[in-house]
Amino acid sequence: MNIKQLFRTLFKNKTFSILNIVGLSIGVAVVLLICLMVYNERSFDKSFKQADHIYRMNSYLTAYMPGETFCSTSNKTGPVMQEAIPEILTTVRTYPVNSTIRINDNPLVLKTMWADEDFFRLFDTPFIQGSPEAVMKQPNAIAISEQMAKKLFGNENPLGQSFLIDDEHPMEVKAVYRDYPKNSSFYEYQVIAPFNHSFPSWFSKEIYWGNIDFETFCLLSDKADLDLVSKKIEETIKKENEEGFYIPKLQNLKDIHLYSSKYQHSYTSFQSDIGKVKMLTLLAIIILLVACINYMNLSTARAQKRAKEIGINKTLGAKRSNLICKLTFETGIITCISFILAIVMAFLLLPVFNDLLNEELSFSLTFNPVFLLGILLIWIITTLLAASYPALYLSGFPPLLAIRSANISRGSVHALVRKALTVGQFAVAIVLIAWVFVIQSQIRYANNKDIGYNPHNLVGIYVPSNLSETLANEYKALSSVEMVARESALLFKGNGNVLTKNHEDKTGLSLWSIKVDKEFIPTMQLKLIAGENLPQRLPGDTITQIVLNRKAVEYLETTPEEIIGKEVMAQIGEGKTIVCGVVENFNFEPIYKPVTGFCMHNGKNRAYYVTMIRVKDGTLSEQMKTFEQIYKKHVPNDIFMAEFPDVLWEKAYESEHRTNTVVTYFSILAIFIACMGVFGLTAFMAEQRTKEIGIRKVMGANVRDIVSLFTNDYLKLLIISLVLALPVAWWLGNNYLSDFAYRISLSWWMFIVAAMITVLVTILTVCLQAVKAATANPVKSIKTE
Amino acid sequence: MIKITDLEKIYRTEEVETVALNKMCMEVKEHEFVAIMGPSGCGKSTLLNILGMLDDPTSGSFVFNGAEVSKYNENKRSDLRKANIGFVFQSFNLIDELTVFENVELPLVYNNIKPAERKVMVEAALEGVQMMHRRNHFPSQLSGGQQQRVAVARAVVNNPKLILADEPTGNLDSKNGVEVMQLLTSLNEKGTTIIMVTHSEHDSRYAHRIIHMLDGKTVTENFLKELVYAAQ
Ligand SMILES: Nc1ncnc2c1ncn2[C@@H]1O[C@H](COP(=O)(O)OP(=O)(O)O)[C@@H](O)[C@H]1O
Ligand SMILES: [Mg+2]
Repeated sequence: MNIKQLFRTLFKNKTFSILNIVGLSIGVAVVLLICLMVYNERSFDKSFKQADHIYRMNSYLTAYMPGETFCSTSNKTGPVMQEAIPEILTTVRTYPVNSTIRINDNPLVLKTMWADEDFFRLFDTPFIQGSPEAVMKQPNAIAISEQMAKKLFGNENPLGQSFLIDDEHPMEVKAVYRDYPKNSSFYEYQVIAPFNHSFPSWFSKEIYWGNIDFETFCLLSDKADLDLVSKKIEETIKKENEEGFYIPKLQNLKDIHLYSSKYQHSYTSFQSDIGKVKMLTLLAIIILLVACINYMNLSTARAQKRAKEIGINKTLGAKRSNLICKLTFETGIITCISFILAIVMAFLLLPVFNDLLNEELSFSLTFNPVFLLGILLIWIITTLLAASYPALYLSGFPPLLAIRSANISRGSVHALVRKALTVGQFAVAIVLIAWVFVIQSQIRYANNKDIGYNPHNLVGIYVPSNLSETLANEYKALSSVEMVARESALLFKGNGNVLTKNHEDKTGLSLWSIKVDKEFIPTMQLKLIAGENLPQRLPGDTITQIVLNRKAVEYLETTPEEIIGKEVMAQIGEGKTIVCGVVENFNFEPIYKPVTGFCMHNGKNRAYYVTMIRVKDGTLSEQMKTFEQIYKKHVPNDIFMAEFPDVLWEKAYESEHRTNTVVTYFSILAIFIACMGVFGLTAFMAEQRTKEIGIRKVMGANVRDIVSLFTNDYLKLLIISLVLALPVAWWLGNNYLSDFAYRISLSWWMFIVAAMITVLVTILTVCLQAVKAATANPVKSIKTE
Repeated sequence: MIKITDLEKIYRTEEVETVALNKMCMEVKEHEFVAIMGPSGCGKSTLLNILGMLDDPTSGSFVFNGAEVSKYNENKRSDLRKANIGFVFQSFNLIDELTVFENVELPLVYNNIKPAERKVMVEAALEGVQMMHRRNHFPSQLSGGQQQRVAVARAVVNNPKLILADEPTGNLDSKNGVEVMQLLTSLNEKGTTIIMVTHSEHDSRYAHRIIHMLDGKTVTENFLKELVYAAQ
């Protein structure tokens, strides 16, 4: 068949062609978008030339929070390992922080990476001006990114410009580097500077094993055996740091982006999760499969019409292989049309997709041989998949049978295959609908869960500790302010401590602690379940009073009432640590993490850096100006920084929610494509069975009989699909939820409703077609002369 | 049993309007065996479809067993049809996916007869056309004559009062044709009214009476003869 003939056939069977092509192209468009995203996620940090040999030294904790991995390690780990292990060629310690600079008196926060000298030797970075040596070998020199240079200095030459960092350390721009690509973990850093003698001061003063705050990278030699190096690292740390509480573990640079989401203390904010990538990949495969199954179903269903053509071709000498080629070619043309349409759709949908995911993906990523080859491959796979069954099926017609066009399409193995494909599609639809329900219910649950404190109408303001009392009093005097409390860190971002039962207890419970004043518990609306609120520390107090959460009390194997007044081993400050109250557990971390120990104390050594203000309902946004004015009155040159606990809480789920939204939308699309398939198939079956329906009507069947004839067929398939789909959906749901410490329990209604929706939509579609067929005049359909 | 008066059937398509039946009048009594003859396109099948209540007339009156059915709705016609009328078509119109037994059973299913009863009736009908041995075969495995015998069995299984046969021997060789005609004759002898459309002079001799049609109307035999004579 040449192309002209092909288009003639396509045009003649408009409905089927449209269903075929549109179904396929919607599917492919979605798959393209997902591919783009997955490709982007998987390409992270691969552009560094030595990426294969660069590893990050994580810390695997054996005590305090045993089993947890930190993304950083001590400032001693790197140098010691480099010294001891020949395969480690270089190590680079980094300490990423926010630093404030002032341009024309306007403060500006820059993401700054303090790093060892060899940073640029590990991470090849193109320099626009200056050189790595000019920066890394000199005191007080920094390199800034191209973007930052433009922003700060416009058209002026950035080299030689200087400014104060954090209002005290003079720095001079010695180099400008080209921005890292967006798919790099370093993209967000605007300043890179060497550790040096004057700053940051804490770096040079203390080099020891205990402070695991340094994100440390190392370069292994080409031939290094990772297992061997890891073993050597473990041996070295056991020798050098006998009392240590962690073991450094190597993680390849390319894995950092996707495989660190369960790790603690990560500096990069561009973190993703392999689970999300896998989920979306799976979804893409499912969507492609559903679209291909549609195609297969519709083309085989149409086969009977083509049987005669095939038969004649065969009697005229066409071999089976010729026919298979021809039919595959035909499919290739159709998939090609679909792909072109899909690419157009993907282009149009990309902004929406970016918006949903909060990404900045662009198709410029795709102008790259790997991606283009990937698309070509998907096209070939789609074509082969879609063509496989119809081509084999059609080409296998015996010529005579085909010409006579006798009973070839039902009651045979092929009908069975088509039924199996349809069952597969139904099952996918049911699983996806149930999946959407599970995700959405979990989101709703997370949004509405009582988290144990009230994050609304609250704002936390960073204040200099010496002014905290003055400011707190001024804020308190405002009429719309209900309460003001002070604490040592924002919200519940306290210090990591360990709570132990006794001296023999080597594991302990991880216990986060913050210093708070007596207003804090009522301001946050935490629920005190035993004892009293934290008292103000009086001068001369030798003991430190604390309020524990229920989890900590449970760890100590006692009750909230009994622990009041007792001393506990929590390593907080000096002197005795006495429990004065117990609060109900609350979610100071995102709810996919289980609650661990938490304590609020009035220890001596910590100052207040954050002021928490609770205002009357609905007045927060208008009060922010007043809060800032009062702040500026005392510290006119400083940046007024405020955080809103309810916003923070939502932010913790943002990426999770975004992914889920995308999954939800795409699942709905997949369901829609599956519905298109059912629609096409029933339309075709109705058409194919018009004569049979005519005869049945002549024999006395009424409309209801005919409709039930159709629906019965589908009900059987639906029931089989349900039996297949429900266990899968159940398993998937459980699997998904198991990541959350606080989660909904799967309930039967999700599955029942998913099943009902599928059944209803299918039966409705089928009925529509069946009624059309059943009300047609039988005289016309049975006329065969 | 049947009386039609001024029956008209007009097919309208986008461009043309075909008058298939033109003020046709006719009467058929119970137990009659009537053959309808006429050239192709003169409206025989149209007439039969209306008599079988598969189609409704454009205008005119159609009285069946004393009831005016031309104004009946689809459901009522369907009920009347399944209780009283059996069909035999030139092209058999068996359902390919059903066995011989299931094909014959079909009218009984739609008349809500119990399975046990159905079995007895289907077997009796198949016995009657000597097709019992083929009860589990599919139509495609049968010869044309055998298929038509199954179609006859299906038409009579419900003991209808009227059988409408549209060129029942049209697709059969003469031997098979004769067998089918004998089947119809014996049914008629047992009391079933039969209206049969045919082209065959031979087949028409089985009938008690022949109705000649021309351009959607009945005409007398003499009129036809005159027409032929005039043409010569
Ligand atoms: N569904 C239809 N639509 C339009 N015209 C029709 C239709 N069925 C039959 N006709 C026309 O009506 C006339 C009578 O047809 P028919 O009853 O089939 O003739 P016969 O059976 O005598 O050969 C013919 O001219 C035919 O073309
Ligand atoms: Mg006819």
